[in-house]
Amino acid sequence: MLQKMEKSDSEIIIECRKDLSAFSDLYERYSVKVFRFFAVRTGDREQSEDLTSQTFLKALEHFSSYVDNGSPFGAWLFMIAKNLLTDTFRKSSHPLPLEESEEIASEENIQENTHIHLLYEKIESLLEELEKEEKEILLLKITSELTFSEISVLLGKNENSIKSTYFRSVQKLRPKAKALLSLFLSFFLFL
Amino acid sequence: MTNLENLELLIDAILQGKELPKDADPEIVSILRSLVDQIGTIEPTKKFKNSLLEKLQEKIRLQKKSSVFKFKSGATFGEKLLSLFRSPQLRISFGVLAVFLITGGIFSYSFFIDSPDSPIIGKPEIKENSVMVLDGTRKKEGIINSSDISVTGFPNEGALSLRKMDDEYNDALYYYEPQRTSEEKYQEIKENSVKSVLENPISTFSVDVDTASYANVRRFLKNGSLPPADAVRVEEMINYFSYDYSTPTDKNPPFSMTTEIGPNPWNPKTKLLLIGLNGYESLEENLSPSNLVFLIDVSGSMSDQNKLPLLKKSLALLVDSLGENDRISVVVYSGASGIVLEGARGNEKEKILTAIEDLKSGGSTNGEAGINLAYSTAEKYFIQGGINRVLLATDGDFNVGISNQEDLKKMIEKKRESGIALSTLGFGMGNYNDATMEELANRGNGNYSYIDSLLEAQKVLVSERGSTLETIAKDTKIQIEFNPQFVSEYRLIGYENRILNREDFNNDTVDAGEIGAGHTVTALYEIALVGEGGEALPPLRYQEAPKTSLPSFSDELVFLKIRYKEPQGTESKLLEFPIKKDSVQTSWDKTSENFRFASAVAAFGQKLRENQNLQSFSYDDIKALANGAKGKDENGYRSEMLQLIDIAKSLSRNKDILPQY
Repeated sequence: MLQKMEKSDSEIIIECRKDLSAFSDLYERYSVKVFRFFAVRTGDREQSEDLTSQTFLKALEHFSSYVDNGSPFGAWLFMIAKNLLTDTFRKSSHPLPLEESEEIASEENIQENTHIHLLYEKIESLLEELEKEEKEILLLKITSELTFSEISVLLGKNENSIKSTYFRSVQKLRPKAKALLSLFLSFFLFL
Repeated sequence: MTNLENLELLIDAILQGKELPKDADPEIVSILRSLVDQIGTIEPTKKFKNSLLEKLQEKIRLQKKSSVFKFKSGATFGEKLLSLFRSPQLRISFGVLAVFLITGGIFSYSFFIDSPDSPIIGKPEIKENSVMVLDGTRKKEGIINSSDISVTGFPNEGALSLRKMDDEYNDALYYYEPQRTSEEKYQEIKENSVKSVLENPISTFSVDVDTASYANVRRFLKNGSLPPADAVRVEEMINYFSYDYSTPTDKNPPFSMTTEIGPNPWNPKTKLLLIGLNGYESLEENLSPSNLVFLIDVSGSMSDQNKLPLLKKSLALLVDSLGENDRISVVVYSGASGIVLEGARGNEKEKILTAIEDLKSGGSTNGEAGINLAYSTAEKYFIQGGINRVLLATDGDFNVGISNQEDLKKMIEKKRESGIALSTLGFGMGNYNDATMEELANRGNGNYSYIDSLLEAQKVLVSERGSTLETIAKDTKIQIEFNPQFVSEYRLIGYENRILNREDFNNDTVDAGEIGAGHTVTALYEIALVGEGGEALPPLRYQEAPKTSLPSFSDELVFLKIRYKEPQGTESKLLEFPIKKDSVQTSWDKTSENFRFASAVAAFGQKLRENQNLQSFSYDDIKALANGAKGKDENGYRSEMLQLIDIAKSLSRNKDILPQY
C-alpha cells in the first residue's frame, strides 16, 4: 500500500513557488484520491474524470492564492473538489444515472464504469443508515486519506466534533459488519 | 476501544497497510477494511491520468510564460526629486520642467519616474525568475503577455529602486517571465582556440550552409531573453546573409572564390581573413525539376500557431513557385503515419493546397513508419538528374522508433547515396532539439533551417529555393596553409562542429557540406601577422618564425585549397589559390561592404557567446559597423539584425538581474 512519501506537501509547495513545474508532483500525489472522491459520490466514471480534471485545472489556476493562505494543501484541494461536486449536484437534481458516454465506449471504459457504478451502489447501501455528515466524513477519510485536522479545515468544524462524528458513524455500521465479514472473521467474532 | 485518538490510528493503519493496534475492535476493523479495500479498487484509467497530466503541464508552461509580478517604484519623494536633477533628459528639457513645477506639475513626476529612462536612485530588488520588461508610460491590469509590451531599455544599472507593490500604490511597474527554455537541447560548442602557425600551419574544415541558428537566436531575442551560448553558431549567423561576391559564369568550377584581408574591427593588432564562395545559379526557369516529399510531424504538440499553421502557410508559398515538372508529396506521422498527397504535379495547385489545408495535428510522435514511407515515396517519383529530397518538418525530438539514432543516421546516409537528400525544417520551441536536427540534415546532404515566421519561410522555401534545394557541389572542404614567415597565429571564427582532420581533406569518403545554387558561404579567420604584436599566445623558446620562405612563395601569405564533388560525382576536384601578401588592406575604407558586414555579424555572434577575444568591442560598436555596411538590403534582413543588436544590448545590460538560461 502507500509508503510514506519522501517530500511533504509543504516542501513541494515551496518548490512550486520557485518553479511551477513541481505542481505535477502534487498531481501525482492526489490524482487518484481526487478521482476516488468523485467516483464514490457519483458512481459515474466519465463524470468523475471530468470533475477531476476541473479540480486540478482550478487548483492550478488559483494556486497563487493558495500559497499565501497557508492551510493544508489537501484540505484546500478537496475544498475545490467539494465545491465542484455541490455545483454539479445542484445543476442536476436527480440522482446520477449510469450513462453511456458520447465518445466511443471502449471495453475498458465500460468495464471500469460498471465496476465503479456497482461499487457506488454497494457503498450507498452500506452507508444508507448514516447521516449525511457522518457519511461525508467517513468517505473523506477513506477516499481522500485526509487527516482529521485537514477534514476539520475542509468542513469548517471543530476537529473533536469531526472525530466524534466519525466515531459515531463507525459504531452505527457495527451491525452491518456481520453481514460483510468473511466466514473466518465472523467465526473469530462469535468467539 | 472508545478512544477517539485510537480510532484515527486504526483507520490510518488500515489505509496505509500498517500493523493494526493490538486492542483494535475486530468488528470495526472489518467494516473499515472492507470499505477501504473496495474503494481501493477504484482507479482512474491510465489514459485519463496521463492526458490530464499533459493538460496541466501545458497550462503550467503557459502560466510560467505569463506570470506577472507587480512592483512599485520605491524611492522616497526626496530621492525622486533629487534624481530629477540628475537626469540628462530633464536637464535638456529644463524649461518644460519649470512649467510643470509652476503649474503644480508635482503630480506628473511619476511620468518621469516610471519612464524607462528614469534616473531614480536605489537598489534594484527584482523578484526571482522575473524578467523585466517595462514600459512606464503604459499601465495594464491583469496578465500581461509578451506581445503586450515591447522590450525597452532599462535605466542604467542601479538606477531604479523597486519594492513589491502594495495594492493602494498606483505607479506600478510590470514584469513578465519569459519562456523557459530548459527543455530545449543544444550541443555544447567549444570555441576554436587561437593556433600558432609554427605548430599548426594547416586548418581544415567543411563548409556549412545552415542558417537555423540565426533564426533561433532571433526568436530568443524577440521573446525578450538572451539566447543560451550553445544556441549561437557564429558561422550560421554569418551565412544567414547573402554577400555580393562575384558570380560564377559557368559550372566549372560551380562556384566563385573571393578572399579579402583587412583590419579587424575588434582588435587593431590583428587582421581578418575572409573567404567567400558563391554557388553557380542558373536562372529561375532553369531550376531542375524537383521531387519533394514533405515529412510532416502532426503530433499534438504541433498545434501551436507557430508550428503546423505556419508550416501550412509556408508550403502554400512554395506551391506557388512550382511547375508542371515538379512533384510534391506529403507524408504525415504521429500515432500512425500516412500519405496525404502522393506525387502531385507542381501545377495541380488546387489539389496540393487542399491536401495541405486538411493537415491536422493530434496524437503522439512515431516517425519510423513515416520516414520509411517518405523515402519510398521519394523513390517512386524519383527524377533522374533532378532534385530529389525529403524535407522533415518537426518541432522537437525526431522520435522515429528506429531503435537508436545511429541506425537512423546510417539509413539517411544510405538513402543519400541513392540520390535522395534530407533537409530539416525546425518549428516552434519548448522541446526543440537543435542538435539532432542539424545532425540529420548533415547526414542527409541537406540543410537545416529554423522557420520562425512566414518571412523566414519565404526566404528559405521561395526566394532562396535554389540554394535550399538544388545542390551544385557536395562534400565541399576548405584547407588553408598559413605561411609562417608572415602569419604567426590564426583563429577560425565559428565552424566548431565542422572542423576536419588534416588528412580528411584528401579522403573522399569523409562527408562534408553542400553548396546550393546561388548560395554564398563565408568563413572568417582572425589572424595575427608577424611583427604586428597581435599574438595571443606566449612565444616559443626553441622555435621562431623563419625569416624567409622558399623563393617562389616569398610573396604568399596563405595558400587556400578547396575540394568538392559534383552533385552526382564520387571523386572530388581540387582548386588551389594563393593569397598574396600585398592583398592585405590596412585601411578600413578600402574594405568591401561584404567584409565589413560579415565581420559585424561575426562580432555579434561572438558577443552573444561572450567570447573573450572581443575585448571591449560593444554592441554599439557592432551596430555602427553593421549599419555602415548595410548596403541596399532589399529584403530588410540586415536592418533586422540592427534591431536585434539593440535588443541584445538592453538585455545584456540587465543581465545581472535577469534570469540566466
